[in-house]
Amino acid sequence: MDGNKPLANRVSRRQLLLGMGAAGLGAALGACAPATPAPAPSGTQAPAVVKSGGKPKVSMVVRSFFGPDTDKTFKAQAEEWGKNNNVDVACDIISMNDIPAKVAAAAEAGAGPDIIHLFDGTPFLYTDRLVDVSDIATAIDKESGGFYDLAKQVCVVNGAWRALPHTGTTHLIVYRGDIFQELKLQFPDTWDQFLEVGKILRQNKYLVGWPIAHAAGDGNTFMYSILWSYGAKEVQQDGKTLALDSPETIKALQMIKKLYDEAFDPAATSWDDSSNNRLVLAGQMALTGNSSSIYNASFKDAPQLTEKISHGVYPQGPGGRHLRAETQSFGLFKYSKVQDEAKALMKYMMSKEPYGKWITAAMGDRVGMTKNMADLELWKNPKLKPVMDSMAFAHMNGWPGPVTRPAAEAFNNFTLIDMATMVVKGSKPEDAVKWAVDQYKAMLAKG
Amino acid sequence: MLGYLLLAPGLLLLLTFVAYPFGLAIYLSLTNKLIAVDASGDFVGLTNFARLLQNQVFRQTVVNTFNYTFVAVVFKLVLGMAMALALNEALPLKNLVRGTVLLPWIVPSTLSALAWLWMYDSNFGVLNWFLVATGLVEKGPNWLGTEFWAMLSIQIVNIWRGVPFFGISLLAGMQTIPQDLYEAAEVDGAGPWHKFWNITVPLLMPVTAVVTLFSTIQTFADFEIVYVLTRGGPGNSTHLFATLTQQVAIQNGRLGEGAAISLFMFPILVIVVLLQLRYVRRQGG
Repeated sequence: MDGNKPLANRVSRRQLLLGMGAAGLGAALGACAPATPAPAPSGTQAPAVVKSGGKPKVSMVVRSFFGPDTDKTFKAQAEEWGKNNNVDVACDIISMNDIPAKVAAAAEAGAGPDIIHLFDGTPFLYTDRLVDVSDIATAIDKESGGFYDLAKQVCVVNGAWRALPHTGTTHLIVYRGDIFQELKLQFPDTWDQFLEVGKILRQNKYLVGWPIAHAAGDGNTFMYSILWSYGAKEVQQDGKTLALDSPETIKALQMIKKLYDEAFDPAATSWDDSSNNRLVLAGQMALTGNSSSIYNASFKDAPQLTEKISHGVYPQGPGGRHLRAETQSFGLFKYSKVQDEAKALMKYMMSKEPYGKWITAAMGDRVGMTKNMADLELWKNPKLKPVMDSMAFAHMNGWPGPVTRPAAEAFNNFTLIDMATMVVKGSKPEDAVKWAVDQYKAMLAKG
Repeated sequence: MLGYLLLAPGLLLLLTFVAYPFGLAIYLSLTNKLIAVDASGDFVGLTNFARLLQNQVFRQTVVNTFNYTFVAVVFKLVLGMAMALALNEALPLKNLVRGTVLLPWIVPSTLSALAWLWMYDSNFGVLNWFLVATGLVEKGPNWLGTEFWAMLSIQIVNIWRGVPFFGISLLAGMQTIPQDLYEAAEVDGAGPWHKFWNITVPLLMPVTAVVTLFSTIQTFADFEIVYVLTRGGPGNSTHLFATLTQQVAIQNGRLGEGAAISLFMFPILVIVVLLQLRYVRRQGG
């Protein structure tokens, strides 16, 4: 309510109640009305559907990102599109931690924002409630050089696009170039080299490591990536046959134990996703894994370190080089009354110019899900080039199988991290694997 | 008729906001309901409960929750009693002190948990800095990174937050005890210990029982402290019913199983409540 309105314009309590009653009745009748099939959108212009009460309104909720101007640019682009197309766009940018509960509530209640960010394999969980956006997805796929495979992997359910891939993150090895130079260290290409470099850094009182704790982003990325690079995997390609109990898993766990005992900071078992960011920016940490967000934050929070922070790709192991990626997709729920406008907005946000500007604003904290974003000037910056290079070996959790509900549950339950925690606390790798296998069996049995 | 009419709003509120969600939770716990999956929600009987019993993480959560609740409530009671006794004395600026000690209870628990997160930080935290600076230890504990210290850390925060509730409630109870009882005891030669043990404790028992009951239920259902500090880790050593429920029901979308976790302790809590209420009634009678 506008508190500055003159008193004469304010409504009385009776008027307000009458108004509310009428609005409620209107809403109830509206809900009973048959839904009109939505015509397919064309181009980036919204169809001229103007609601009787004024302009159509599209609400969207997306997660906040760490790049300096990422959120500002996104919001400005969405609102500008709204202005040009006579659509009210309400864009809420919220913490990533608040997104899953918001998505779950919207999906279950059948009410909420029209467009919402869906993480990783979420389209597989709420398939029934999501609009098929194959029309715009296939159009973008053709115009943009194609979506990356991992984008398809998280959005295409039973042959239909249930969400539109928006963006992803590839993590990097973040290291202090000046310290490496001072100690005459080479950037580690393998996990064995990483261990040796880590040992020297620890001897020189510099912190090294990733969270081996319930840290959904950094903790899971480290764990999936190192296990895969030793040839370990949770399941076979079918996504159903358990494959965790293998000599490769044992070898990976032995390496994790060595890394923890000989190179990592012991407090890594208590870290959250922001711990390594703080430690690098405080000048205490010399080697960790993260997105480019630490580098980006250093411009403001630790400008003396900006030049010294360097990036490289994740190390390889006996099973090759692998990295767990994360993605966000635009989900459009079936309850939306403005599906045409919402699709047009989503398509616009993925069109080359605004999308490229937005990815550029993210300064490596985001990668494009379409291949035409690989040509951006941004990736010529040697500090950000590894972000794009990492797309070549990035996979979703659940790999080599498809994204399934059990794969998502193992991720949410921190099953791999807990398995590794047991080992670094002294359990035998075989016992930890047995524990994890029991957990997976229970998850797979539930389907 | 008028009586029923006057009762109706209260009854309606109870039915809508207490009975309905509770009944729905019981129903959900007997189904395989998944969030937003049309083909789910079939009646599965006690399958969710049976599955939980077979799950090591759930069994560990049961042990964690009992450990967390028991230790926290005992310390809150003892320290709360000490606080009440201190505040019952004629202190300078009595009202200001009484108001100030309530602060930990008033501050939103998520905010205070964040402050504790920073204090517990093994690399930057003030606790380890203090321990090392004063020469008490060479290297401070890995507060949130080992099973023992992580559980102790979340218990300390719960105790810190809960002591004022005990303190102020017990203080209110102490002020209803007639002064002449203490005077009579003094005439008979009773010292402070005898007065406390033979007058304060017995006459305070009904208040103590109710406060302990409330606190036990609240501590059993605690969420924010663990969610902010450890998210159930390391391993699953600090998962409580509420955090595990959140993980299963919201993150994984398994509403049926999540409801079963949160209801698992319901029968035990009912027994605790009945025993305590019976005791209070007997004392009252």
